Amino acid sequence: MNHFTSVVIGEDPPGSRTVKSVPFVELIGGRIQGVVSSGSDLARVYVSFFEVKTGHYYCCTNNNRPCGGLRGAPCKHIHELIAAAILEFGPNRVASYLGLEGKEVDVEAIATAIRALRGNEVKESPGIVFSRFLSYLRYCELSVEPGLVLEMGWFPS
Amino acid sequence: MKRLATLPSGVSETLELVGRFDQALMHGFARLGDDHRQGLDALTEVFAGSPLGEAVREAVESVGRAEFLPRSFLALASARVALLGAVHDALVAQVRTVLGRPGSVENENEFPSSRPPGSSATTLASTQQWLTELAISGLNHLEEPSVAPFAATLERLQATSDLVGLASLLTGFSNELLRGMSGSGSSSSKKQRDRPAFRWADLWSGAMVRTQELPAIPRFQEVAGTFTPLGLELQGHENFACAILHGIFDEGSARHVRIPLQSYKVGAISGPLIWDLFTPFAAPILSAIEGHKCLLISAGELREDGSLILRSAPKVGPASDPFAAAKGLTSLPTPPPLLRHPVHLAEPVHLTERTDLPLAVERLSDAPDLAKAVEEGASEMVGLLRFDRGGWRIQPLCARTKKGFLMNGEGIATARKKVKERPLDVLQERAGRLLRNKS
Repeated sequence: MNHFTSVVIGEDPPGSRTVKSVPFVELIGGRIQGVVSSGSDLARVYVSFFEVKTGHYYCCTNNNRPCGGLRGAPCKHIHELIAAAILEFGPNRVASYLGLEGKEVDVEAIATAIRALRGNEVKESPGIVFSRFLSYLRYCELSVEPGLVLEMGWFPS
Repeated sequence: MKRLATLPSGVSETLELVGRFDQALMHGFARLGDDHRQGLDALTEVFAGSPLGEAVREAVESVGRAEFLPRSFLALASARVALLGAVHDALVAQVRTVLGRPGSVENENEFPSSRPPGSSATTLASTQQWLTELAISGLNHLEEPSVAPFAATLERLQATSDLVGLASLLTGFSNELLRGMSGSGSSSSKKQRDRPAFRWADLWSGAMVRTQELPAIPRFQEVAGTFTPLGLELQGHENFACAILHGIFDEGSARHVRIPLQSYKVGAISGPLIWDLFTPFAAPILSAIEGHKCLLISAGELREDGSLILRSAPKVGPASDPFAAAKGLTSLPTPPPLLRHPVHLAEPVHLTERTDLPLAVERLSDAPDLAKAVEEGASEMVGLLRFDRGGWRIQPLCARTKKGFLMNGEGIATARKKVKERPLDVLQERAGRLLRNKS
């Protein structure tokens, strides 16, 4: 019921996930995009995206070297990224982002929908996603003065 | 408690009036229909002769001519906030009469005055501009390009420690607006119907009125004493976490206070992990809740808004009895007029018999065990009276059980120990490396 409702009942609470392999994932601009750690080099990360309408995708290092795992199909980094999105945002939100409706929106349905898209590799500079990653990391460094934040009364968790 | 089932006179009518304004805000001021215009005229009539009267009349006339100025939307937002502030005050009077507690709401000149925007003026003006654009388009017709560019202003708000209330509100609001947009570009009419108009209008108007000035510097007194926990309340969104521990603070005389902890965060830090943000307070607080113990506070700051700020980590004290302590329950102070809204009502109560009030389920998603204990007919509970969906509701904090009592927040200490990885450490390490390399 929407009538005079200030606080809505939350969707599925997001699941905890490890951030070692996928430090950053987001749903924005019609894409699932984010940053995946390199298994071998601490200083290197992969910047990947998957466009949900077309299935187009790309993955490269933060220094703009194409990922060696792209061989005509999304690499393992993109699969890791999508799996992290499902963990962090829950299958319902990811499914609805993909435009899937109805009851059958489990992880399997998401995987099927993604396989069915058959997009192309579309080369793109990692700059924008990488700078969004830096903005995201900034949240871990922002400080807050002690005191009650009354406004959070609208946001029970 | 039965007397709470009947609302004070005027409350329903006021909510209806607010609801008509919300329709215009959802639909968009660029495409007002006759219904919306009538709703706005009704607003002008209600405010005629009041301090806001002239500003509201001018704003309604101006948007009627399709002249869209931030000043007009500020006046309209102020009108909506004033209406809900009046509802808030009527409900406070009602609940305090029913509970036999003293006092009406504090009046305006008892609050320290807010401050001019100073160096934040530009950021606040661009926030007003963005909120104006949202209203012109209508919250039902937003697309990513009208929300996403606000991120730059939002970063500046978040970096201003005086503006944490506005910044955290707008972070949650813009996340919520973006979340409603499908990545595949389809937006069904069902989705539109499900949009929470009243809530979004709350957030929009609440943000708009907060763009005029900086909040007052809080007044406080230094205190030390014993704190008996009554239960934990968790708030926040993807990028912000708040834990509020309710309890009775005794430093000679007892009163209800809340210990607030808060921090920005990223979405991957959720559930028990948020407590990593609250060192060094997390460990003693969670351990006191888990072990049904009191907290000994040696250095605290008791603010006028009824919050107790910890200056050093408290020590876990002797066993606690929340129901005995609840005899010291007092009303929390009302916020300054501009910040009043029924959503902030949290009147502490001690109930010793079953109540007919509905559970505030919207505030209990982190407290399934407690909700169950209450639904199964706990004989005694301490909770907060809340107001939403046009009626009073109860949010339990702790409840009597066969084995003693169950308090919200129990189990977090244990859950926290089970988590192996500490995402905050991992991300901070990354941030340290990348953000400083950049500069």
